[in-house]
Amino acid sequence: MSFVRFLAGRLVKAVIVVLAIAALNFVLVRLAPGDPASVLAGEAGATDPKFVDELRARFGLDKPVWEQLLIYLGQVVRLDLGFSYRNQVPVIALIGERLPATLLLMTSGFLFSLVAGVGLGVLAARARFLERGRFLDSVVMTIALVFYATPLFWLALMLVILFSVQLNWLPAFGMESVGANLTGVSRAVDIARHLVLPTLALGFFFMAVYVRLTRAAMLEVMNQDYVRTALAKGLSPREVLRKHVLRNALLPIVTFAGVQLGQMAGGAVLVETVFAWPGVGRLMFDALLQRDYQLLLGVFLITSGTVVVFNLLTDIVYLFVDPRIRVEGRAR
Amino acid sequence: MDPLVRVENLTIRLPPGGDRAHAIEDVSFTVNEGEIVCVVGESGSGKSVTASAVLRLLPRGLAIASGRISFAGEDLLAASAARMRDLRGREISMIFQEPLSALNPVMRVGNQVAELMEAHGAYPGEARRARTLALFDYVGLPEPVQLIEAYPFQISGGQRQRVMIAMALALEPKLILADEPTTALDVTTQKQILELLRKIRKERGTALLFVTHDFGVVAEMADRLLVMEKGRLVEDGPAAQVLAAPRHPYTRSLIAAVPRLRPAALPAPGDQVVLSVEGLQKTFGGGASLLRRRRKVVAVKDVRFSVRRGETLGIVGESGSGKSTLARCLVRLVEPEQGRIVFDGHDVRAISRDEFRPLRRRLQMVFQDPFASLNPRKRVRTILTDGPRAHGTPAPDAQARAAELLSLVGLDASALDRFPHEFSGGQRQRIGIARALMMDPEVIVADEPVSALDVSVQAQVLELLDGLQRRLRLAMVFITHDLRVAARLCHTLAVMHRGEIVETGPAGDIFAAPQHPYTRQLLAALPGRHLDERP
Repeated sequence: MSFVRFLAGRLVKAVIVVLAIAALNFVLVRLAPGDPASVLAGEAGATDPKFVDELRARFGLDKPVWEQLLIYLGQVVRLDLGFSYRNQVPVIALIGERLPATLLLMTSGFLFSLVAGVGLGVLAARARFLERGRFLDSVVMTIALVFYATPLFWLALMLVILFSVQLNWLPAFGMESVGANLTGVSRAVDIARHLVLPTLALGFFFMAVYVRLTRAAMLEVMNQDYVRTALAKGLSPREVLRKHVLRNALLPIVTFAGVQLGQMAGGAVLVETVFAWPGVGRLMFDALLQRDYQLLLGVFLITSGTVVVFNLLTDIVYLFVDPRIRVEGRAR
Repeated sequence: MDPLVRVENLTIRLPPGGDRAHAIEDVSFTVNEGEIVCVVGESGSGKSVTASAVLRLLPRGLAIASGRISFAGEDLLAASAARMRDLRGREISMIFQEPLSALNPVMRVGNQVAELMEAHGAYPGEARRARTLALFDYVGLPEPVQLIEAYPFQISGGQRQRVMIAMALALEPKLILADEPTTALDVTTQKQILELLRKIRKERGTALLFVTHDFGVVAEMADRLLVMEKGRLVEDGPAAQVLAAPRHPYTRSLIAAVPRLRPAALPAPGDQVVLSVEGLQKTFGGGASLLRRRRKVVAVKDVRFSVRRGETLGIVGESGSGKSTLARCLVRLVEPEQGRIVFDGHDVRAISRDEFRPLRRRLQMVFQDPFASLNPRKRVRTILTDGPRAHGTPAPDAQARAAELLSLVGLDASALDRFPHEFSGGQRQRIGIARALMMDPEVIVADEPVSALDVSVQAQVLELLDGLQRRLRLAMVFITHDLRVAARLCHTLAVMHRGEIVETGPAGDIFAAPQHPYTRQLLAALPGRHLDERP
């Protein structure tokens, strides 16, 4: 019961947030210099002001901005993201075609950074807690620092040079081998092989953040009184680490995971560009260059919507990880 | 008979760079079976380190340099890590000061107790739950069947400490190390916990090594008393004897510093009422957010009192009684919904914040925690002069006043250019008091100004406040949970309980003949009443 209410409340808030973002995006794009009607007219080779006015009227650009905004929001509510005149397709169709690739990349990048980052972070913190293997701690922290400090696009290029060009182990771009026409398992394997380098490029930076965060959170928890209580009960340090330290250190990690997924959407644009990954990021990049405003707004909206959904998921995960939030919601 | 614990010439090294080389130095003592040995001392005396050394659970960075610890004849310092784990929780268990932080916040309390049995392979299967329930029942927790499912934040402080005690008792250890187990609790709860610990000793013959800073608690509990000063054991003897006739000068000064529950001889206050309050009410929560109603808490309910020039009004009560909210209402850090606060002829609530500004400088507050209430990145000079300068005093005048007040509160003028962390707790509280005085206030609202301080420092700060009031004829609202501290300073007392003032009157009358049942309960819960009879 309380969970349903909690979820309903969060969903209402999420919808409000998405609409607010849509409005803000719209205003921002309108504020940017450049008139889409004259761009379209210019590209069509037309200089006739009457033709430009006609275009304006056709796209509703002659109406006041607030009215355009209301019309746009009305469309958004009906899940109508408009029409991309450059591509002559509805925006939703373009995004729908590209979204799965981006979600796949983000999911694998997220899982890689989370698993590797938390794993290495635990390893480093464990070395400190058991008071042996400080060397291991230093090694892990150095690795983390290197990846933390490396720019994403440079890392992506280096990965391509090493694994594709020099070693020839993995494909350097695209999502599938061109012209191979694979099906079933072999197609999945092919996509997975294409996925490896983009995933690493996208995930290494966040992995480094997770390493540092996990280690710091665990070191902090190690100084808590209840860890001393657990030791005083006669638990072994390993048990204490697993049952008491890690469990409590998870809380900040979950919080960050929600934030990180949002940031990752930004990183995905870069990675998709470098690896020619056919995702929403590339679409956005192209839309930007072509001043395809409807498409740009659509991509923005979908991206923000994704971030809002991820935040909602984080809140729900939090509910399960921290009883203080769970029970408080119920008691009141 | 051999003692249960024998500590010989124990020295524990501190990490280099501290103010001294050793946490404890050359400490020797014994604890017999079924005996309650209290270790007293001020903060930094090494009393907690001594207790944790027995379990070899020293804080990071500390190491045993030399000495011997034996338990039931076994040399603990020679024992393997596995053997120590076996002893921990089974033969020797420990209770800590702050039961909220000593319990894992994301684990049900029943599981935390069961985990100890699991670690030692005791009470397998169904028996474990039954044992937990029996323990909860024994330590006086209500409705154990429901309570074992609770998380620590869902139960009260006293209940959490009972959970800790249940955990400590699970495998019937021979020794319990208790590190300030009642310090974080209200006096009435403290009384119950102390009674429980005595019952455990009586019924199960468990020995207790009881670390405390509170002589009242010592007087209630100890068979034998160890007094520690700066890492050294300075006195060791039967409690009654040490309390009645301390031999070491440090013990004597510590006992002398404990305030007595007897009204002090204070100069009579004037007739002019400076601050009066009528029908004050403050409620927190209530209302509803988008989806849920918030719980409503009446923190202050229909409170009325008045303070005259040169008078100290003590507001006493336990945690959650609304004393701090009341203090914050007085200086408008919190806005009450109802009632009048009349200060210097103005109804403070009726005027705007701008109109209140000139009044605010004459109504100053001293806070509880001298560590948290001074900005760590500002020098004392800035801390003191910020207030007057905000009210338009020229910088040179404010600085001259700052130097003057520092000497009034007993600090050297060189303190002006130092940062708060360079001072001890007592010195910081002196800075806090000087800051309040910078504005030449007529009323000082002091919220638990001495409760974070050691007893000897506390005595000095109380002395200072007393002297300042005599000299400056301030009106003071003094908020405290400690009736003995109130006795030292207050002309009049108001006893608060659940947001209401249940009894008010001259301090002497309230101590001699408390009228309200809650006041009587508070007085009865005070530990070590016979200490008040000392000359």
